[in-house]
Amino acid sequence: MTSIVDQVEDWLTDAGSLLDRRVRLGVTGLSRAGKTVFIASMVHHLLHPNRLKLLSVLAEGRFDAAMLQPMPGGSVPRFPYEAVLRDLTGTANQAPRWPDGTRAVSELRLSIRFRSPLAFGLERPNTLHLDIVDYPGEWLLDLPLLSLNYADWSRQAVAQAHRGGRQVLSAEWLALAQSMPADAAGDEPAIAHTAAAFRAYLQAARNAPQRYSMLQPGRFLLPGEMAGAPALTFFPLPDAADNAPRGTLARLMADRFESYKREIAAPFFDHHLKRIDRQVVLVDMLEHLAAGPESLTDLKTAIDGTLGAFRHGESSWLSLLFGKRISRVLFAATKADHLPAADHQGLAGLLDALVGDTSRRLSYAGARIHSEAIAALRVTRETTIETPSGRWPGIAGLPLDSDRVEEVLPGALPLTLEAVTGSDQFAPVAFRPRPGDIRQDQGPASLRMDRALEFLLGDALG
Amino acid sequence: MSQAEHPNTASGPRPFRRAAAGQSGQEPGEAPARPHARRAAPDPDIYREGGSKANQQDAATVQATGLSAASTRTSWTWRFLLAGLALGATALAARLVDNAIASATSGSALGLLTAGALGLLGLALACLIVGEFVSLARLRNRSRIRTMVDQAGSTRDDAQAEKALAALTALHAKRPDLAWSLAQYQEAAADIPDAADKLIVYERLVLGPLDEACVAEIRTIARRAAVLTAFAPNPILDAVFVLWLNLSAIRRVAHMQGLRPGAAASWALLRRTILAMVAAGGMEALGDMMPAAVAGSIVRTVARRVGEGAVNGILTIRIGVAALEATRPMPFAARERPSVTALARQTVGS
Ligand SMILES: Nc1nc2c(ncn2[C@@H]2O[C@H](COP(=O)(O)OP(=O)(O)OP(=O)(O)O)[C@@H](O)[C@H]2O)c(=O)[nH]1
Ligand SMILES: [Mg+2]
Repeated sequence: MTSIVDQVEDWLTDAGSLLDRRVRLGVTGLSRAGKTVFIASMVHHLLHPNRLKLLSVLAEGRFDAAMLQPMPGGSVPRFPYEAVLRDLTGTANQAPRWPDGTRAVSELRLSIRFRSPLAFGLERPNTLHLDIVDYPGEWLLDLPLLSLNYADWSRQAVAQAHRGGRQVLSAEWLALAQSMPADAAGDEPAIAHTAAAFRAYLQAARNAPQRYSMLQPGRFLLPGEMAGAPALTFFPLPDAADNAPRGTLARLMADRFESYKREIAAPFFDHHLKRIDRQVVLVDMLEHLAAGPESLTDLKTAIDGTLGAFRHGESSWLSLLFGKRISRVLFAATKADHLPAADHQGLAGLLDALVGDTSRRLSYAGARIHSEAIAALRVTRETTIETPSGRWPGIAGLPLDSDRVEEVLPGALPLTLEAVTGSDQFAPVAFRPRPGDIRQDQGPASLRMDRALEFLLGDALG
Repeated sequence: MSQAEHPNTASGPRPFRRAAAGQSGQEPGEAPARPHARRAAPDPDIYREGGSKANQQDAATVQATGLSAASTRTSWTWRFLLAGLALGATALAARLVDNAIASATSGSALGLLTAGALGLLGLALACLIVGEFVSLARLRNRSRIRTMVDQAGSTRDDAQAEKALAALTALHAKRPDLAWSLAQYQEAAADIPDAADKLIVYERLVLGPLDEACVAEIRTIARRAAVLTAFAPNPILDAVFVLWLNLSAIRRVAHMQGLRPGAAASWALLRRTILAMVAAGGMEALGDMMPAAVAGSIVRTVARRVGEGAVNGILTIRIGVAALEATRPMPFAARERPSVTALARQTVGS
């Protein structure tokens, strides 16, 4: 749907990136997966590069400096790195805290000066422009909508609303929707009422103990500046037919759905995510493991659907003509500092299993895939905890819901996805930063951020 | 570490929290990393791309073709010869001892003196032999650690990597000249949860400076070899000098790596060095050992002499780098094997 001008602009930027070393890193993750914290940590690490021990450009002494740059273009707000860092470090009268959920798109360019090795120990100065975008995770789920028409989406959404624990939550909206004949003209107050019920269902599903992920459309949960607009006043109909005739409710809904895709979902994707060439998929496994099997199935649907919107594969000179492809994808289980190190490998293994089908598909397309258990910011430390049943490796830190440092055993991490029960056998505790954990003038403590960056950017910094 | 693996099973601990003793929310804590068992997953080996992959292979070739196999594959001719010599020597010694015992039992002063001398001689011999065995064992220990590191690096097995790290630190802990590097490493390791990654950092931080020092030494000796060849008055002398310098390059590298090879270990080290050279440079490396000196006797113009000097200098560099590879307790993985060509350019090209 992009115009010719857009297309030409795309080509020019892509061509530029071949000469200039420009990498557009797509940080993908659902709401609360840890995107904002990841970006802030990455930027802070690269601005104060004393702790990225496994990033070869640093280890080999070829790193000169990194600097934040204004985004060329300038129509999108800059990522509020300083504000996020202030939240994390805390101030004299404000204890450190996690940043708030993101409510709008922002972008950032970090330029890295380094030296590329040539033959015979010679080096050549070089620059990498790293472009990053942050956005509300809710919006990511609009991407799967782009390839659906209204009737398909309705069928999918209604079937989903009948499954498992969603049934209770969706009852009110479904009853309302069923009472509205799809082939008659709808009246606006009734439509608004049902749309509100649909939105309430999505809200409830998000806050349910199952922590449902597959919540579409994204703007219904986080409308931003769109609140109340007609484009947001629609809902799936139980018996929506393809090509409903003009004047019917089904046709009205379909039109609004299409305009949602055209005016909201597609521009978001086209402007911010379409041209990425590296991708990190952040997944909060812990929350969903604790919430149980239904939560995980839903998460898997959401991840698979989202990744389907991107183009993965080897990048080559051909990509100049046919559009860029994503050549490296890192699947990262975030917040690994909520588990003792003994469990990290198991955590990464569970993520591997969850995204197995998708990652095979991406590999087949030619992308390089890697998975890792990471903590963008590490706010706990390892301890050994003595209990009546023995000594166990545990963690200590300041829990979100407490004012005292506590020692915690998160319980038995399930060995396989099939073993996930959602019982209280496994109950990870969320922690928050303490004063001194993150400092303005130093790289932050983290887990495997250097491995992650090496995989994502190592070759671009070579 | 059974207690570490246990929580993964359903019979692990129940979720549990309690206030930490003596810690308030204000207390900043440093977080020492304690790695445990990792899943053995296929790893894309993200830190070993490009040139160093080939080096790994080289190291592997040395392991596979040479070091362990060569020590058992001595030819039968040699064995018979050695056995004959040993038999002869034993017979001679037996006669001497018989005589000595005879004179000792006779009670004469001379007899006692002979016996004492023989005893001391025997003691010295024993010390020598024990020393040889110890230095041989040290050399073998290097290969063992190298294999261990290599395996840990490719499988990313945490337990194996921990063992390798323990062996490495045991090797280097007593060296005051490495104390600073080791401290650097300990500090860095606190941020790293996986032992296999610690190995990478160990190689960069502890072995890196050591590599640099060895390379500097090799270059000095190579420059000396080049100059000597260019000005040596006589081809035989030249050959002797170069041979001596090359052997001393091997010895210097071994010393800097913390080895004090005796006669047998030196011989073994020489063999390993040659094998490493073969693995690194192909078969022509062996031929390189001789011709420079031979060529020297044929052509005698000054310009040619300088050229031969360069050739000999490069040979020394090649031997030195091979010796480094043979004595290093880790394979070249996170660090690149010093490039002979690049070193040659810097050293004799200037
Ligand atoms: N311990 C720990 N907690 C983390 C880390 N990263 C994120 N979190 C937690 O996860 C929450 C969400 O992180 P964000 O970075 O705000 O998530 P997001 O993906 O930007 O979410 P949206 O903006 O809503 O899309 C934070 O408030 C933290 O509680 C981490 O590295 N360690
Ligand atoms: Mg955010």
